[in-house]
Amino acid sequence: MTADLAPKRSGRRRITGTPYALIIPAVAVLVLAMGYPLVWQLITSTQQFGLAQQFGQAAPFVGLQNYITLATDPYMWTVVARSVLFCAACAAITMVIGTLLALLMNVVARWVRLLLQITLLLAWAMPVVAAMTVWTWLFNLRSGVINWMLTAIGLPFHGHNWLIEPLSFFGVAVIIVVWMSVPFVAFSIYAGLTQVSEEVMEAASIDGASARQRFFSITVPMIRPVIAIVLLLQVIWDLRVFTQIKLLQTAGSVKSETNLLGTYIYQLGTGSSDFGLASAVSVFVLALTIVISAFYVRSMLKEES
Amino acid sequence: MTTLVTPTATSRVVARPPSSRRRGGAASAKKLILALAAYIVAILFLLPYLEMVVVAGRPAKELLSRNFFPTHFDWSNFATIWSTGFGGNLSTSLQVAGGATIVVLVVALPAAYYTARHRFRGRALFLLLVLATQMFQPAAMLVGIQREFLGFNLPSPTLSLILINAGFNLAFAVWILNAFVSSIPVELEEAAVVDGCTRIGAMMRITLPLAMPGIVTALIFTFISAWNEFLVALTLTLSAPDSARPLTVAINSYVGQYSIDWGHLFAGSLVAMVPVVILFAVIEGRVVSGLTAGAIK
Repeated sequence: MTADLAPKRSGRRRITGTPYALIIPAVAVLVLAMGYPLVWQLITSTQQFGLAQQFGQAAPFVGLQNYITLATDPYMWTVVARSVLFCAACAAITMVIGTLLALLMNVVARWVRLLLQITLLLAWAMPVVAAMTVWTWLFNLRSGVINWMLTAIGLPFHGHNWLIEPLSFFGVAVIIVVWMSVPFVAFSIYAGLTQVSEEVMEAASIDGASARQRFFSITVPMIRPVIAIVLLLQVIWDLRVFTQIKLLQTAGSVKSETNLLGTYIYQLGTGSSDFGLASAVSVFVLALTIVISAFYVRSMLKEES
Repeated sequence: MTTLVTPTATSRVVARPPSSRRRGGAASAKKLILALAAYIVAILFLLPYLEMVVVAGRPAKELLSRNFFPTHFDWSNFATIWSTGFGGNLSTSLQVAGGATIVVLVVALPAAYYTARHRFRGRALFLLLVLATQMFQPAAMLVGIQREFLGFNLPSPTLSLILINAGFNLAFAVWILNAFVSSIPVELEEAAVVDGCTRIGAMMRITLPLAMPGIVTALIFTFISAWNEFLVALTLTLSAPDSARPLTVAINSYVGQYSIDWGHLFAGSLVAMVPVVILFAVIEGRVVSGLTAGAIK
């Protein structure tokens, strides 16, 4: 593997053993925190849970039966399609708004930037239960501020129920999820922007590059690694979104029409104690995420080296 | 970096006069519009907060009133909340989020530094494994987590929560720090070594300060995620005394099956913001920016 090292680094004193000493602590934390639950899930996904298991009987192993049940269930595929669409919408909107806000932070005066950062911080750090309570209030059909404002400007929204129609339910969900994730994107990309050197920008500007050219040939390449990571994580997280959808469902909607993968897993597992099927869905989500992101991750790792 | 970037920038230049950067009126108008945009965004993001403050300050007997603003504000919710054991919850949350943040930075920094600076066997595998931990639904892992950590029989759930939150948030820290360290030219470190610095000294004095925006981002991210984590906290503190529960669980307990203690719910949530804002205020100034590119010529 030394051959892989860039030539200029080959002269450096090699410290054998250090690589693993530096990486093992991180692996140890991951294994300790998440190893057991992950293995438990893989095993459970091959077991069958029924009424007897609720009374403590050990669940029998049924091989891939749970996966076959899922694959032949049209409802599962509906939920998958819904989740992918929801994820695409949320991730795209979040990335666009987040990047624009990061750019905005980069050009405004310091105290305006601080004001923006603190507002975003407040949205980001609000306990999710409180945030969801406020949001369901804002969209409440009778006393909600949103209906009140829309009615005030003459639109027919008096007593409009936002959560009963699946499409409008997901519209509200997208707004809330985007509101909660934009701060993360904006903060991360802004951190990337601070690495873009003023001097290079100035030099390019003296050489006659327009603002547009400076942006696309200097700024974008510099912050691309950060954008790549943030986008990747955003897609992964939006695919497994759970709490927001669960609490919105509680606020009043038809569950079967608004389930995403996260709430479907919860409904199967905690809801009907079918941990085998729930784990199988969860492993399926893992596989789906890998399929969606594999190409992208590969090009990311390739570009790095 | 300089030599790489400038040619691409210039080669694309079409015949266009160098744009003068200070054009007086136009420039300040643009500034004003941008600032205005910032204010509008800020207000949009604060909209839910406005509602929260209004409710937290609403006197109990006006809760059902249809007016948006109460006739007067009554801040007693902010005082009475402390008698519900909120101080203990706050301290538990601080320990969990603070502990998880420290663990994440201590283990992620060396790993990210090494993966950014060296190509070694298993490097891609390590980065992928770290990423894969994000692909599982936390709600689906609850049963496994419960079995594992209740089996450990630790004296308090706080330690378990620190470890789990560190595990949940390690991926972002490793990947973002890897990206930031990669963007810092290794020549800077080598120059420092030539000037008599040790390797570790070069890393501490050159690379870490330059990667500070990334470190700060990882720090804020981990702290906020751990501060807000709810499902695992709820699962692991079911049998713990009230005051040993983190804030999110305490706040959730104001939402009952049939009635909701609005005042305390929102007062608690507003108080929960304070440590996060303080943390940000403390580290914001430490972001060193844009030092790298000019350093090698």
